[in-house]
Amino acid sequence: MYRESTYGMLSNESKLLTPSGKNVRTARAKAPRLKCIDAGSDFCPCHLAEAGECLVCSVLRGESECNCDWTGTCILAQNGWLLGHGLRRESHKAAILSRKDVGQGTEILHIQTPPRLASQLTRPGSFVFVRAKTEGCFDIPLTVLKSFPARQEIVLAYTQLGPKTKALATCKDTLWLRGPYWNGIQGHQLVEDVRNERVILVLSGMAQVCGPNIARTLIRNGNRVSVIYGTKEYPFVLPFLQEVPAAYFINLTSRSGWQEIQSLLKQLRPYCVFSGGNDEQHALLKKAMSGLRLKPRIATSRTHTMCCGEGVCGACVTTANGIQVRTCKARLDPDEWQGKEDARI
Amino acid sequence: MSTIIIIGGGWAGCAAALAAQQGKTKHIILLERTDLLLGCGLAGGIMRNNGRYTAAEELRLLGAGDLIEAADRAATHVAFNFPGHSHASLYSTSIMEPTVRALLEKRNIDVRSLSRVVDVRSSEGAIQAVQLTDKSWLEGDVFIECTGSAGPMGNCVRFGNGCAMCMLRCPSFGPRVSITARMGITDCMGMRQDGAVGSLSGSCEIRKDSLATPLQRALKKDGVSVTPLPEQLVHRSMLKKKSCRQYALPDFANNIVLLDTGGQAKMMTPYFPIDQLRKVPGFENALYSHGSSMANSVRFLSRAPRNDSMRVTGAKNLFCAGEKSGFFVGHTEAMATGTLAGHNAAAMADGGIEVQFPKELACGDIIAAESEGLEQEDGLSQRYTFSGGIYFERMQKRGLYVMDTAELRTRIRRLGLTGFFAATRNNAAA
Repeated sequence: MYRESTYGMLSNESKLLTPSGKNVRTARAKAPRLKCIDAGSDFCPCHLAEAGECLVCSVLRGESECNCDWTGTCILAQNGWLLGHGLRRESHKAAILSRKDVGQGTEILHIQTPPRLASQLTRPGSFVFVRAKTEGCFDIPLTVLKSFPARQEIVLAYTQLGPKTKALATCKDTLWLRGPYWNGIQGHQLVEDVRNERVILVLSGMAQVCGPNIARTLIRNGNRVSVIYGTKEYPFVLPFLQEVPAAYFINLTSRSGWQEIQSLLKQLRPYCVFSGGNDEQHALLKKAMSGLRLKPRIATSRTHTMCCGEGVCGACVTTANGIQVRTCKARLDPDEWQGKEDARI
Repeated sequence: MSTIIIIGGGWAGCAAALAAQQGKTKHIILLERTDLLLGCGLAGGIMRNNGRYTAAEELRLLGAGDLIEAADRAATHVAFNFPGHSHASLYSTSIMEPTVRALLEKRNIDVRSLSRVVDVRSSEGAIQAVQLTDKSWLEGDVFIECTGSAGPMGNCVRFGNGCAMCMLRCPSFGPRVSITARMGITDCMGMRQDGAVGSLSGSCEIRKDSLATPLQRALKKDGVSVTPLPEQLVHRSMLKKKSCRQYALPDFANNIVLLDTGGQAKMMTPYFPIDQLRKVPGFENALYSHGSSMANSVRFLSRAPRNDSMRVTGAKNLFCAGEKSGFFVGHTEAMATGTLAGHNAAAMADGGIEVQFPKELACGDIIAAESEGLEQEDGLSQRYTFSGGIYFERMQKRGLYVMDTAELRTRIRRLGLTGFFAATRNNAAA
């Protein structure tokens, strides 16, 4: 009558851990507890879990102790239910509905997607991989500028820089698209949890594409949002950020621009700041906040190498607080990058 | 002012917090990961059955009876018998938690719910601070670990039949984190009688209003109902999975025993498929409230090494209590170990000496028996409770099972311990 699951589970445990039946030991023998962007999604357990490298579940990594920091559906259980892996993201052909040149080599693409995918891409930090050619090595990670689930379309932006983006410029009405991915920003916790506060978005360069999804989430949570655009590049996301009433245009490359930002921070006293730009901008903003005795709560766009998006190729591996982390998947707070950023500057 | 941090707000943690109020003024912080105190005690209810009566009276006479008295006040049924158990009382799980919380707040204990501890900072075996989920660090002088031995969900998957959505509510509030494991101290895991790891909680909860009217009436009147099971539904193998040895009796396999614990009826079996249960007369429309028809929480997965004054071996300023401190089953047992751990933690903060319960008392003897038992061959599969199993036998043999409060009073007076814990607390107030 009763499921004799205990014996069953124990005898099947080696099968659960890895498909090869071996407890894969890795350099992450006693890994730190990390949060994973895919945990709890359709795509969990992922390729990493299958390879005995799950960021969250210590048991799937081959450790004897059940020692995670995840409050969602148990990944070990999910691994059992889904026979070792969740859904796999695969490239599919998507129609380009329209393309618009916004100057300086930047183009905005409207792309048709299934409504479910479009809904999944409304989250802050959402991105997809696209490519113009059939070969997988042409994949580029592009942040989703805006997503319209009802219209079954998403908006992407790219600038022609190298062979991948140049190929993208030549493709006519279809491209290859793979998604959804979510780890395009650092500090998800901050962006998603802040309620009824004053928040400033500082957007410059291509990183401004992160802005609309973040602004919408913040506004939905009752926050008062202000946007500061760095004016070096044309603020092409402006039409997608109409819901934000307060916008400022400041030249971030000049000293006077930073003085202006400081006086704005002083005036608005934000609870937290999102910095969409380069590492230097993140560090300067943090410094400015600390200087004004504001808590340097900051979420940032990601500037780290992204290649396969699954943490498999290792291009994203970097060091946070002395620990190697696969940043494709790991939800890191910019605080954990403090040492590295300071070292760069 | 010293700070004593208690991790875990179950019965053991609450008892430790109350006992830690002694000597010089202290800041006592009780951290609880969920939004309610009492942990598994929210689905408990059974007090004073068999030897627990003696232990409860001992605690009361030792001056640590606040929680016992609170449970008595919240009782729905007193002095009733059910199979294998005499003079039991049941507290209402519906009103117990607010009562205990009010008591702690009245005693100026800093109760912080939704405060899950995820890590510790320690050097050379001494903890300096614990880290909470929000990454903040909380510094203290002495720590008491009352994190229990159940969860997280992964363990219920590996060693049980999956998450039963029990009172621990791991999916909402996060997993239990073992403080000793975080310090690098190796815990031991309990085994079942059948050789598997851990053991399942011994009971699950049924909605009273889903039972047939005669059953509801019997529960209201007597506090207990015993329904014989048809032969084809009797599964004695279940008894080996139970953590509660006192309920691992044939009576509990051959019958469905229900107890009235306030809003819910407590069914004395770890789990029971609902389609089978509904074939039993009176249970045609039965519905579970917590626990489920196919699983229950797995417990006894983390027992810290300790001495008999509840200090963790290998740690300088860490005490432990409740299930974390041994293979103890029950609220009275948790209160006894919690009281001792709390008292000794406060003594350490004041530079005083650690004490142990004398073995002339059941409260002391059970702690010693559990330590001794661990050394034995089947030590990991034994469970210790005043209310049954091997310990109740030992209690009877040693003449520690006493139902006469006057006799206990004399015994404790001879030991010079009358009102021992109350006296130290009154000193604090003075």
